[in-house]
Amino acid sequence: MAEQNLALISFDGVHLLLPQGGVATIETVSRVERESSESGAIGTLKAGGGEWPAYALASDFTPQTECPPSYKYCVAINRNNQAAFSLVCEQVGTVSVVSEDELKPLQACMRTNRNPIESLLLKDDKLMLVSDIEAMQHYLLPEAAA
Amino acid sequence: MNISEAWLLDCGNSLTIAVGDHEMAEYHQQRSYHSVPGSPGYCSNVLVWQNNIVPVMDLSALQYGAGGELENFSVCVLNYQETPKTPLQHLALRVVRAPQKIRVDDEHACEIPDNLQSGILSQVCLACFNYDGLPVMVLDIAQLCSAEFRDLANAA
Repeated sequence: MAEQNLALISFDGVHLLLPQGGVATIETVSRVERESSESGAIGTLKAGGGEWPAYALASDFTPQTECPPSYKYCVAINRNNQAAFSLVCEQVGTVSVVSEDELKPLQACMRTNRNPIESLLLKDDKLMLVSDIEAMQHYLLPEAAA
Repeated sequence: MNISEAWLLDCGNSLTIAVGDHEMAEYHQQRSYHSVPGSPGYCSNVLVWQNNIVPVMDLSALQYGAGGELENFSVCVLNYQETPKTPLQHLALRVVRAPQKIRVDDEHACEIPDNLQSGILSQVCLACFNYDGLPVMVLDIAQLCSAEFRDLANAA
């Protein structure tokens, strides 16, 4: 497996990894307009001609109705070159995965239809949750992902 | 008469199960756990143990539908194999006290009592025996961790 770069999106003690290639832009949370037609979204990120519904997730992935003050950034995610969603968060970074063995698939007993987590990664003494864009979109916007 | 060594695990709410001696890996008090969002309520945490990421399952919550306190609980880390000659895998079970090593013989075998038979865990029960007047189920840990059982539990 070639080295894989994943976007690290951290909020409320959670370290979420998504494919780096899906990141369209990273903006400050002040760019989020606090109105959205999407259920569960705190607003809409408008940047560079694109619009992404913005979600503020708690540690259990429950969408929050208000953006916590510690969430400073908004990461816009595209799927198939189309605006999919954006996540507000406390920190953004990059993690490189050099071996498929580093990614531990989520065990069968922990999977549900609603679970967007595909695998887990232990790195730098942190447990990171690995998802993909389609799974996250299905979790946040079930109708749009269908 | 067939005598076996086993471990009694008190999972809370008067639910005591047994696992084979070879299945017990370690007992831990007050480990730190990581939450995995979107997972079933009875198995929504993992612990890092010997560089493995191990699911933590609350059998009492699974059997009776009530979750316990997630802080400061103890676990028993178990070994299992999905099939023979495959790598060892691990599951941690939430327990309310230290496990107890016992010896069991065939004379202790009994039917699964009605109150346990009606619960989901009877679907993965290999055998049942009486110990100090208490019915104890011996569970198939590989089956407990399977996708088939998860679907059954999530539909219940």
